[in-house]
Amino acid sequence: MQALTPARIGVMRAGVRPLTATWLKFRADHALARDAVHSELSEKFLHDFAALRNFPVLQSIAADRGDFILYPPKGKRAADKSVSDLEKECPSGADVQIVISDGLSALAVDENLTDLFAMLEYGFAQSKISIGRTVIARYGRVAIADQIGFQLKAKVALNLIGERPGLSCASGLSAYITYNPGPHTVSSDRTVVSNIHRRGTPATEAGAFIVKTVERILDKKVSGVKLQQLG
Amino acid sequence: MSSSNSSNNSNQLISVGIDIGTTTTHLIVSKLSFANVSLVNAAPNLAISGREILHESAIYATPLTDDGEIEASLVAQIIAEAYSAAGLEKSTIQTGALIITGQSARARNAEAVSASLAALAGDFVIESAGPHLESILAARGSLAVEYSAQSDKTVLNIDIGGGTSNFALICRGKIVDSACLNIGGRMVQFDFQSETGTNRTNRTIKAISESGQLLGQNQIKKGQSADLDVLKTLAQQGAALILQVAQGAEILLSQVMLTENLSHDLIGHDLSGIDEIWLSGGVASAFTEENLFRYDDLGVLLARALEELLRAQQITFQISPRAIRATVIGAGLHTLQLSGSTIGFEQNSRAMLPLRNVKIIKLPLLSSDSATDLSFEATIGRQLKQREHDWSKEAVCLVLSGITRDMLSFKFLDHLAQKLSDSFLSYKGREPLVIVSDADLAMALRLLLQGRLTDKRIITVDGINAEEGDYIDIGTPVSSSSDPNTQSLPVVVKTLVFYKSPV
Repeated sequence: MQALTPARIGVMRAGVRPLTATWLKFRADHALARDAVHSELSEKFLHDFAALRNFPVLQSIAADRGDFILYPPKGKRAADKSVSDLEKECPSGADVQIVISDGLSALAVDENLTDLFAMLEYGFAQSKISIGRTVIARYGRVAIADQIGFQLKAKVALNLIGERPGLSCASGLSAYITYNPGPHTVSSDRTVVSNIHRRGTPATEAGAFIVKTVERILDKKVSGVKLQQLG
Repeated sequence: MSSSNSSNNSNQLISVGIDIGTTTTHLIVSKLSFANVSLVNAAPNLAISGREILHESAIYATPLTDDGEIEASLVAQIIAEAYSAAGLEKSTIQTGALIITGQSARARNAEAVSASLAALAGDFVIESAGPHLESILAARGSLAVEYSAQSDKTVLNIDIGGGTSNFALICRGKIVDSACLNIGGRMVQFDFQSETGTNRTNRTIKAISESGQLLGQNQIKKGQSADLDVLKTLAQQGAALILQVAQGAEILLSQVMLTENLSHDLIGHDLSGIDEIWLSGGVASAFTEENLFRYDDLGVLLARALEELLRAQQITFQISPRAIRATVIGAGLHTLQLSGSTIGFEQNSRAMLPLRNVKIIKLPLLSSDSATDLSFEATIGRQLKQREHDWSKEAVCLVLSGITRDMLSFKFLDHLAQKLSDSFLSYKGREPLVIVSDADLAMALRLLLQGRLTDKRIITVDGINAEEGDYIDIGTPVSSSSDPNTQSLPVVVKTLVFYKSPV
């Protein structure tokens, strides 16, 4: 059973304390999780991925990573000006506006995004779904995509965002998909595909699944709980 | 996108298992239900969530002609009778398996029987079980596999029927080895004329199996009466052989083995590697039978001899809670695998399902090394030729093996899709293009293939293991919701591997 799960099972104890090996493993995993929370989007990602494709990078109203961690609501919005400026660079009215956010693990973006994005580009092109120009949101949380999608009049906002790290995985990515995003959007409006990482759903397969899910959302014109209620 | 697949009970299947064995024929009707077992919000994953037996037929004697052939018309009658007893319409049955097991599988006309029952059994898997498959089905049906998975134990299931004894070694719910011995209760059959009672003396021998003759030397002869002591000795010899196979000992009478023996490395000669021994099959259910000749054969005596032997050697064992019907339950409930739930399947392929008996071609692992790349297409060609298959006339199922999670990059899949579509076009492959893998890639690969083969019908299935030499059946999709992105394909892999044909 231990081979089947990364969860801490059958770890035994010495008196009232865990074994040294168990304790060290716990400390190490915890450190990884903490590092992930504090991680910044890497130079490699910003340069090789974002800059190469000319994707604009904006920042939430959080001043820096520490500010973002201490004051979570700040991650939900970007300065109005920086968002309205996007109109100059990004076409409006796309079917899908993709936003890439570091969220609580920039590592997740580094690790999964290249394969996921390639699959999304391929799949959306094949399904004739337009994706406009992708925006990178630094210190962003899920709702920041609503603001961006609303500004750019996209039918669907798709936020690819680093998940809160756990003790068994620090690099999981989620996709939050919202039909008709805007200030009125609440959490139940969002469809989520979570656990995109090496030991979860592989980024490529998740990409194909997201394409199919977006197809359905565009067809039904709803997302989130309302989509689930369709059965 | 259409959601026409949302029939009311699309998360349930009615399945029928029919076992035509050496001695008995029976049938069970069961209901399989499916549910999404994935974490909330993660990509879906359908699994079989319930197996419920709706009806068990009476146990019929397998109708055989005097020269050992199966009487197809009588079998058809039995099936029709069982259907009506269960209140079943043929049209309500979505899937099923008709398995011809034991020595009757080796009856010369097994294939003809399959053909003549096709009208009754519709879209069923119809198969003459090789000794290995039979062992696997019995182990699943006897609940030994489930028990092993739940208890984390290593269990040896021995299913002793009329014709054969089937061994399956199960380690933590996975069947790791199997073997088959040509020993069963029908080694010797008697003709008691009209005599009844528990200790009938007028035992005229009606038939002796090949193994029975080997073991009995010339002490028993067809048409003659047999001494009880001689019969007991014969049963003891049979029981000893069963134990020897269980212990992985060398079998001197190699003719009685229908497969290779169990692997010694896994169990140890003292059975130390095994936590529990389970017994199933007709002979196992006869352990408590008092009438020595209840079935007019050696079955009860064999059961007694085996019980004595096991007790003498202080080997503990359990009788399976589903001893008698293990194989048929295995056939009805456990032959079906569900694919992964992110599959590559669109409505345009729906009309092509169910697919039956699609030949499996196993592909080499694609590497990024360009020299190997060139041989990818050539290897497919070689495999097709080797199996005398004309892809332009009949579809094949390509199996991708050896793909690990770390390899599932976009670049790799894109490259793979290119190679696959090139090969499909250059061999003028017949639609649908069917691709199976055990790695989680079906939806992604289908997208990449469809981009290249826009007007072709493609079905990609993951979460399934299949081997060279196997055949595959793919049924119509099942789903727990109306979401076309959350569905699974029921798949039956007909395994012929390990099969050592009888001499």
